[in-house]
Amino acid sequence: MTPNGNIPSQPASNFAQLFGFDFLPIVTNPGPNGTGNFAARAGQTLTMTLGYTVVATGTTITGNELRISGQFPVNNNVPLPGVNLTGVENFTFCTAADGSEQDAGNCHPFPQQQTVGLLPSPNPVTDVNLNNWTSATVDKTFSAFGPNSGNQIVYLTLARDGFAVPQQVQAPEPSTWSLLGISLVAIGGLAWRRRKSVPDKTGDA
Amino acid sequence: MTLRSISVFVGAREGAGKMTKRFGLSIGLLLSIAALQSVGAVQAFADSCPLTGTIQTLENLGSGGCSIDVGGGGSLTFSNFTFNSTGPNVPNAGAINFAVLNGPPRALR
Repeated sequence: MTPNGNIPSQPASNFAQLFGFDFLPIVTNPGPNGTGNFAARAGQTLTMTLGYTVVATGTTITGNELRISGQFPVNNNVPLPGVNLTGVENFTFCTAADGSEQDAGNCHPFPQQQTVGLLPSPNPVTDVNLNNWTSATVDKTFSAFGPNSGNQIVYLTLARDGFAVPQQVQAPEPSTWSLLGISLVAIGGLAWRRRKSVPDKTGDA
Repeated sequence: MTLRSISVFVGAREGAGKMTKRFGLSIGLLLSIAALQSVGAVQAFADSCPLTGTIQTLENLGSGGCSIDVGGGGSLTFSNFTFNSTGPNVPNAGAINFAVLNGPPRALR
């Protein structure tokens, strides 16, 4: 019998908070002969590529986490020959010094490619610290490789891409600032009217 | 509209000879709002990202994208999503779900 395995021991994140997305291929019936929509059978390779731009407003990007999870056939806790799950991520980033280029996110290639994978040794997560990026374009590729033979299936069940930001001090919302400003001006106006309505010593009011 | 109403209200109770002062107050209000905007207190943000959906949902947002609040008045705006898949019976963008990450990361097995 060939039991189904999970990526072992998902490590905890190095970041207290992450902002981004968990992409979740649908697995309706996991198992060696189950059904899922990102499932590689014997001799098959499935790949999906995702791209997007992220722009920071009122904060910066100081970290990134790339993570995958999946299920795959094993024998004696070793993935069957040919089986693998992988993720690769490339960044192009901008900083505040790049001015108007930030929104396009096409300023500087980040030389450090992020990778995760099941083999040669399980490495389901990669956390990287970044230096106050103001925007970035992200290109990532996730793949599932089926076994060399047999009828077992490899599933990709999660592809996570999250960003870390500096810990924020809680501040009032913009609407609160607006109300505060209007209130102060109104109070000032009333005080001004009150002062003008009181006759002064010269009797000119 | 509210600011104008305040200005008109204040001005209506003054004599005609004090029109200059009324306009002065109105200008003060406008300058106050401008100052708030200049420090970023009043900004236009992209719509908040839906908490769940499919990759097709994100693609449909186009260049406007959507934003995730990171606290402290900051946000990350995600836009221009693209998706491609290859392989036998591979799912399309409408068949892969997503869930937003917006805080402590969910634990996995």
